[in-house]
Order: sequence, then C-alpha cells, then structure tokens
Amino acid sequence: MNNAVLEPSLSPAAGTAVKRRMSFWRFARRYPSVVVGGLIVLIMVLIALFAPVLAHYDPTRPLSDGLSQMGAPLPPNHKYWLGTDTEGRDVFSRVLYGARVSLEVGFFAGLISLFIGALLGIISGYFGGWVDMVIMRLTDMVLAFPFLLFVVALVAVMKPSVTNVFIAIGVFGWAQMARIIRGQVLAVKELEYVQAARSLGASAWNIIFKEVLPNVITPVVIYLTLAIGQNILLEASLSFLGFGVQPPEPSWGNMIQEGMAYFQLAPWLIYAPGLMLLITTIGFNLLGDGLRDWLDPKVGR
Amino acid sequence: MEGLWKKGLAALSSTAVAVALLAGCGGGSTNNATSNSTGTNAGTPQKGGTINIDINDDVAHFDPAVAYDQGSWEFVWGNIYNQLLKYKPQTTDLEPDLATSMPEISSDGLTYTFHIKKGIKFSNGDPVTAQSFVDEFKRILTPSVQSPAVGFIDPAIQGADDFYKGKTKELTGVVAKDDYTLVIKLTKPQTFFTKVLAMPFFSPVDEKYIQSIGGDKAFDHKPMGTGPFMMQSYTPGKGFVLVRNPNYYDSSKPYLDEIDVHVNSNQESTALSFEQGNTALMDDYTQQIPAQYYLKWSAQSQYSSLLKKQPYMGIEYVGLNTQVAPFNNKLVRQAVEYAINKDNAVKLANGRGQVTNEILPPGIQGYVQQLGGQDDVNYKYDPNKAKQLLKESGVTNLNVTMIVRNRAPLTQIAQSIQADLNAVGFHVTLKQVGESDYLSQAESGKAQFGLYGWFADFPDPYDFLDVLFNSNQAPINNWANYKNPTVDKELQQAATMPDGPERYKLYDKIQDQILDDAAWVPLYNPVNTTIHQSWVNNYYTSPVMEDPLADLWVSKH
Amino acid sequence: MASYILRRFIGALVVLFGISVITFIIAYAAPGDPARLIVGAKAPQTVVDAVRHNLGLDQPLPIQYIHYIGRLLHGDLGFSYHNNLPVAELIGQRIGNTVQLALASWIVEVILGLPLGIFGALYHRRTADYILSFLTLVGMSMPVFWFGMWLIQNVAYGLGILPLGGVGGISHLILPAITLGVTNMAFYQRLVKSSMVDVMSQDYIRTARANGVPAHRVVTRHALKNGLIPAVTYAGMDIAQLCGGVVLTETVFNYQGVGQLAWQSIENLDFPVIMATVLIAAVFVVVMNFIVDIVYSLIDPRISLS
Repeated sequence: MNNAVLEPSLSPAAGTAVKRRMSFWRFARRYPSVVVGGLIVLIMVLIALFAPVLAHYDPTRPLSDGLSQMGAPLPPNHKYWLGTDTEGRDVFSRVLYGARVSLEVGFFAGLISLFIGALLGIISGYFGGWVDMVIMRLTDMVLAFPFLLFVVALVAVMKPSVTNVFIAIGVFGWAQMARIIRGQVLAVKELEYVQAARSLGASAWNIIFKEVLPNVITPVVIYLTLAIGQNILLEASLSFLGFGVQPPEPSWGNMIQEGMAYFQLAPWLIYAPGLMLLITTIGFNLLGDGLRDWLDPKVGR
Repeated sequence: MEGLWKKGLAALSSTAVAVALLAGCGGGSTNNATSNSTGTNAGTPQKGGTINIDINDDVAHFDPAVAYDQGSWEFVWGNIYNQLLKYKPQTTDLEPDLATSMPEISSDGLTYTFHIKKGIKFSNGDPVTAQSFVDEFKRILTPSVQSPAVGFIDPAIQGADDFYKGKTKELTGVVAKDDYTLVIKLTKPQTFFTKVLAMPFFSPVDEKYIQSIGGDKAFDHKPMGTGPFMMQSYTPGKGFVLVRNPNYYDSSKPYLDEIDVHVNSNQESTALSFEQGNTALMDDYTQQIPAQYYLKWSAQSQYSSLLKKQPYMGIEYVGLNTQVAPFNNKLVRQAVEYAINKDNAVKLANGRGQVTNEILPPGIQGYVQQLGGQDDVNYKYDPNKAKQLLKESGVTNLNVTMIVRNRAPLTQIAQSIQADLNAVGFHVTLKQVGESDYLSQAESGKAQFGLYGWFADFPDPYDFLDVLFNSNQAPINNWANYKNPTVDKELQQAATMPDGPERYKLYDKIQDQILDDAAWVPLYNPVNTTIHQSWVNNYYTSPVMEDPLADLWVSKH
Repeated sequence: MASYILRRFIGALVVLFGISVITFIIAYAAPGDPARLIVGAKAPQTVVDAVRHNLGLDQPLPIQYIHYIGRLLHGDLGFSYHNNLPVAELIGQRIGNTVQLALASWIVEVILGLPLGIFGALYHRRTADYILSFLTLVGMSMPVFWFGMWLIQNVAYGLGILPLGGVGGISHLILPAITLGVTNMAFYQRLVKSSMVDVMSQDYIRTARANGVPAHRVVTRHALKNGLIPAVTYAGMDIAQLCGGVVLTETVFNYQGVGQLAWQSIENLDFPVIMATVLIAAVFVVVMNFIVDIVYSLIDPRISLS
C-alpha cells in the first residue's frame, strides 16, 4: 500500500556519500523539512517523556467537578485548559499522556516491521531463486490484504492492549520494508567490488554484514521515519474503531472516539487530540521527506 | 454511537420494554393511560398518511420464530404479526387478540384451551386456523430453523423435547382440535405461561406461503402475517416499507397508510432529520436520541415539551462471578456493593436512568422499591466500609478484569466504576468488547465480573430471578454463577404456585437472599427517552410492547 | 511471454489461496461462538450444539476450510450468520455504492493531486512549492475519520447544504469523496512532481528551454507526458484498493458500502461475511496487480526475462 510514496528511490551508494559540512543556517535553508520535522518530533518526544510533570491532573481519574449537572463535559476554562471529557477528566492532561501511546506504538511497530522486513528482504535479495520467490509471494499476500481489517481482526483475537496493537501493526507492516531492502540488496550485489569479494570466496554473511547492511541503512532510516507517522495514524484508527488502546488509558484515537458523541456540544473533545495527531504525523512525514531530500542525491539534485 | 440496546445478537437486551412509572404501585393491573399518554392527541383519529422512521441497524430477523431482539420485535411484534393474546395498551395486563377470550385452563394448570376468532386472514388472503399456530410451534422446535425460543417451550410443553430431538413427527402437546380450537398441554404448571404465549414467537404462520417462497431462510426476509401492517419491499442495509394490511381483522386499524423505515447508523443525522421535520419519532427501539441532542432539546422549549422519559423493564448491573476469585468471597462482593457510586452512573447517562438497589425493575409485579430482609441489603455508597470489608476478607490479590460493551454511555460508566473500585484497593482492568464477544465472554462462566444488562421478555419476576439466578441457568444466563440450593428450591416453588401475594412475597425473600449474598450490584433502570413530532398523534409507550405503530395517526402539517 | 503470464497467473492464485487460509485461521481463532450468537443467549445448550453441527462448526478446521473453498468454487458464498441473507446478495447490494465512491474519490484525488504536482515541479524549490507540498502533507497526515467528522460538522451540519451521510445520489458522494481525495491526493502530487522534475532536468528539455521554447509548451509537450506515466500505473492499484472498500470513511459517513459491511461483520463475528469481504478486497488488488504486470511486460519486454 502506498508504495509509490514510501519507497525512497535510493542509489546504492547513497548511504556512503560524504556530505559536505555546512552551517546550521545554510542547512536549515536548504532542508527546512528536516529541521521543522525534527523539531516537531523532538517536542512530541519531550511531551511524552515529561507528561507526568506537565499534566495537572491524573489522566485516568474522573474529577469530582468535571461534569455539568446534566453530565455534560465542561468547556475549556482557567482550571481545565482544554476542558473536560465525557467522563469528567482533564483533556489537557489526557492529550499529553496520549503522546506516549502514539509514539510508543508508532516506534515499536516500526521496529518490528523493520526487523522482519530487513531479515526477509536481505535473505530474499541475496539468495534469490526459490527463496526469493516464496518470500515475494508472501509479500504480495500481505500487500493485497485490506490492511486495516486485518489488523483489527488480529487485535480482536489477541485482546486489545498497547503491546498487542503495535505487534499487530508491526507484523503486517513489514512487506514494504522487505521490498525496499530487497531492491537495495539486488543493486549492491551487482557492484563490482561486491562481485569481486564474492568471487574471492567471502562468505554470504560476511558480505551481508560488511557490504550490504551499510548500504541499506539510509533508506531504512527514511522509511522508518515515514512508517512511524503511518503507524501513529493507524493506531488512532484502531482506537477509533474500539480495537486500540483501552480506556481509561488515553490515546488520541480513543479520545476522538469518545468525543464524537459530543461533536457539536463539545468540539474541543475531537479538536484537541485531532490536532495533536495531525501535528505529530506532519512532523514525522516532514522529517522523513527531508531526510530523503538530504540523503538521496538523485531526488535532491 | 450506537443505539442504546443495539440489535441482534444481544439477545439479553431482547425485550427492552418501556415501563410506565407507576406511582406507588407494584405494576400489574393498573390502568394509568392518562399519566403517560403524550398529551398531543387532538381531534379524532384520521386514516391515511406516511411517516419516516430511522433505525440504527438493519432489522436482523422478520421471522417470528427467530426474531429475539429489540430491533426486530419493534416491527414483528403486533405490527407484521400478532398473537393469541396481547397486552392492553400501557399496561402489563393481557387481553385476547387472535383468541376470542382468555384461555380455559384446566384445574391442574396443565391444559390451556384457546378459541380462535373466525375469519382471520393472513395478509395474502389465506385463512388462519388453529393449525397455523401448531405449525409455528413445530417450526420453533425444528433445529434447522435455529429458533432461540426453544427454551420457553421445551420441556415446558408435552412432547416438545421428543419433537425437538427428532424422536417423533407429531407434537403431542400442541393440538388443533378443530379449525378454531387450539389445545396446549404442559408438563408442569407454569404460572406465567400466558405471558410466554404473548411473545411474538408464537404468531400464526402460513406454512403454504413459507414453502412457496423457498423455505425458512427466505421467510426471514419476506415476512407475511396477520398483523396490521405488511411488508411491501425490503433492501438489506437500506431499509424497508410497511403498508396497511387490507385483510387485517380490525378494519379500523392501522391509521397510517405507510411507514418508510430507513437504516441509518448515524444518530446525529437522524436527529437533524427530526429537527427538519422529516423523521416522525425517535426512541430506543428505533434510533436513540444522541446525548448531545438530548441535552440540547431539553433546553429548548419547542422540543422539551415533546421529550418523554419512561423507565425500562430492565436493569444495568455489575455481575460478580461468585465462583471465581476474588469474588468467590462474600466480603469482597459486599465491598464492591459499598464501593460503587451509582449516582455517577446515572449522571454519565445524562440522567437517563434511575438508581436502583434491587433486581426487579419498576413496573414488574414484585418490585418493592425498598428491600426488606434481616440485614440491610439496600447498600449505600460508603468507600470506608468497603475498605474495611476488604481488610476483613483478607484477600490480597485484587487485580480484576471487568467486561463492558463497547458503547456509550456504558464504557463511560465502566470507567467510573473502575475509578471507584481502584479507590478502595482494587486494581481494575477494563475489557471493552463488541456486542457478540460480550455474550460469549460473559456466559463462559470464567469472566470475573462485568457491567451487564438484562431486559424482561415478559413481565414476571420469573424472567429475572429464575432465569438469572437459578443454578441450572449457570453460566449461560446466570452470569454471576450464583448457586444457592435454598434459592433454587424457592424458585422452583414460585414458578409453579398460583399467582397472588404469596408468590410475590416468596420472590421478595429470594431477592433479599441474593442481594445479601451480593451476587449483583444493581446500578440503575435505564430510561427510554422518546421524542415525536407534534403532528404524530396517539404516541405512547407501553411497559411491555414496543412502539404502537398501528395506533399512530398523523394530522395535517 | 506466455510462460511469463502463466507464472504471474499462478503467482496470483497462490496469493489468493494464502489470503483465504490466513483469514480463515484468524476468523476461527476469533473469540465468540458463532452458534451461540445465532440463537441468542437464552437458547439452551442443546440448541447451540445443534446449530453448531448444522453449520459444520464442530468439524476440524482443515475440513471446514475445504468445505468452504468447495462451496466458494461453485460461487456459493454462504449465508450471513447475523441475518440469514445470502452473502452474495449482501455484497451485491453494496458493491455498486463502493465502486461509485471509489471512482468519485479517485477523481478528487487526481483533480487535486495532478495540478499540485505540476505546479510543484514548475516551481521546484521555490516558496510556492514549499507551500503546496506542505498542504498536501497536511492532507496526508490527517486521520481520515477526523477529517470526515470535521466535514460533517462544518459543512454538512454547519452549512446545512449536504447530507450528513448515507447513500443516494451525487450529493451523498461529495463529502466522503473529498475526505478520501484530500487524504490521498499526496500520492499523485508526489509522483507527478518527482517524475516531472526528473524529466525537466533532462538535457533535451533544458535545450528546448534555452532555445526559447515557452515554458508551458515544454511542460505540456514533454514533461507532462512523461511525468504522468508513473501516476497512471499507480492509479490502477489505487482504484483497486478503493474498490475493496474503505472502512473508516464508510463508517464515519454511514455509507452503505462493502467497507462498512466488512466492519459490521467483524463486530458481529459474522464469519461468512468477513471471509467474503476480505477476499473480494484482495481479489481486486491481486487482479489489478496481475493486469499491471502483464501490461508492463508488453510495454517493456525486458521485464518478462527477469
């Protein structure tokens, strides 16, 4: 899915290309996406880390004065900066804690995809033949699946929890990664010095570790950055459908889901987590795009 | 997001039925037609007109033998089909419908004889005979029909078990003596049997028609019965059209020519359509009024006068599995009773519920409002007492998992309960489940506890106390896994003894015992909130039946 | 060539087979007992057992799978557990709606994505490019359901001009199509931009421009033509995926399509419908993949040799 966009089209030598030193300001002017995206990601990471310090209230505990007499959420006020939710909890505190879940799921799901994808991609590309064919058919299978349905079904079977959500996302997100890495491996294999090393009898693992891996690191970093953004959105979608992070644990997705019942009366319930989600995903996408521009000489010319 | 009692598979929310708030009376034979009629019934009823109704989800079943959920009963019960007996509007009293009179019951309480009105026809013109009823009993007892009603008549009716197991082709307990006489024989007396027969399962069906359209599966979507309405067209996922049945035996009804029913999973858009004057009515049987519209309309005079609230003959409760740690300890269960703030639950439902301390809901005979018993079982919110009981119990592992349906306001209420319990020393994990998963988890007998719901199939304490607490119902319906030999014996006695004060006294005693054992924390009786257009007349809510579609009429607007 | 087509065809079949097996296993492992769900909570255990037996659910998984595939090959998708309707009919009622929405969304994606991509290429690395790229990035980064909700609240409800949801005519298509179009336009924008930037830096284009050929002619004559090729191939896959149903958008807009059906069937544990909807979505993608492969190999014979 979305392969056209996520696949960084890298020339094999990109990772080893030596970058000229330039001043930060020149760099920022030339690659604003890297700087802006990186900054957003950094801020979100800090929010996630320092949520307990920044939050005024327990994100999971209903406040005794958190609901109106009729049981409606309270609008933003000087005490509850972003108002309260349907349960009478402080939305500001919940939004901060929500960053933890989003980043956690995005990152770990990305790592799992990376691990499986890298392993299968390298094996497939390096050894070729029937191994390659089997792995590539498996990849086709995963890519042909209605991804969201699949993850929902898997989470349903495993019971929803933060851990299971990122496992499910990771386990079905590897196919793209495997394709990219396989492509890199095929290209690297053709390089003259690798050919030479092979003809001199270097072992397969030796070549993979010494020659192939260094060459795939760049596309992997770029891909991982973009994938984290996608995973964060996916977690929100799962939570929105009720199969993600379980209440009272706040996740931006389940906050939006709970807020939907009050979208006219209490729009802050969907705007606050929605904007955080949007900004975070933009951050990762900017960073990923920027890294590609910066590190990939072909597109960046 | 979803309708309060979402459809289908949730058979436990089956007959969510509205209850008139009967001031100071134990339900039963009351006639308070004035207290809950809409007050907008001006003029004499006029025939004609079409109304639009939205429903939250496709109607699961139109086959009366299979339909067993609120969404299906809305249209099957009393609208497309009718039965031997029905409830008088706004009461829990039975009166004859297709029967000429109430049944003759033999002195041993085992034989029921019904005389059927002559000249009744199906909407396609075929005549209705006693055999039409026998056919339906046989369909229910045919495994391939997959009727959930088997438990109501097997083994209660003679020969039902043999027929179900395929040992005989004849159902000895249900016999058409002649075209207009139906005789039903029971294996043992059952005080509430007429109420069982009034459920829509036992509608007459036209076997010839069923065969002609291709059998039972097809019949589930091409219904044809004796009711005031008949189905004109049906598009799965989109809706259906009901029109007047020209062969209906009461020529004065229905008033409406046509009802257009639209499937709309988006409650907000139904509410908007109501504001635009298009949708005729909203209630928990069709499309629940969404919380924000309920709050908004309550504050606007042109709508607030049309809003009505009627408590259901049902209950939301916390069921504690009495066979699984830590709730196999009575002190721990009692601690839970004291730890939960029930007012919060009702607040989270925007006040659409009323706090209760007992199992039976208001409107049902046997409801007492204030429980008796030696120990006080009207538990009050008292977190300190809860902590003390937990300490006394000596139980240290208080990590528990609570099941809750994935739907507002239940998930919100569950979180409030979670916070209450955590405050006294529990560590509660919530498990939000879909409607179908909910059933299988709860009835597995392994779930520790959950936020459950139950709604009357028919207005009798049996349907709550026996079905939910008899040890022979564990764990399928008795989700608390409650097992008490004394209670079992008393339940058996109450099911067969003649109706009267003695019977209700016994049920009262049973209730006190169960609550003293703290198998449940009763939370609240939900309230059906309804709204209807000012030009829709004669709209009322009944304790047992669903919306009175055949009684509605529209004035010029 | 023929052997290449045959190989690809067998590959496609293998993929479909694998998908059916995996779906079957996951559905089988799902919590909940279909038989109990069919008859409801109050039915006695004997009824449940009888139903389970009738449906063949008491047989071992491989046998059940073989029976399922056997029926499938005869075109029999079975009956819904939830409401007894034939699955084929349920899907037949909805597939038209989904295809309509797919095409409408695709049109919006292209209408927005192509011009943005072209402008991006023309103003590459200039302020306009950054602004446009950022806008598409915002679209791509938005949660679909959130944007859909936003449109419902501000356009359908706020302005009161479009329906809040449901199907029936073009007016019902507009908001869901915009939702999908805006969140997916980035793909076309990026493809067109990057391939056009590529083409425009080629020597012959540079020469043409240096010789005073007006920019718009260079764009229409050369750059656009070449720049569109990857977008066209992506379009095939894109439409296939949209036709398989879009769960979130259809759910938010109460749009009666295959995606909504798939989602409802998961909620209801309506096993035959889950199987059918997943398979149909997969068939769209696999078939489209197959076609794209074959067309590619016809255009560029070198591919079939690899």
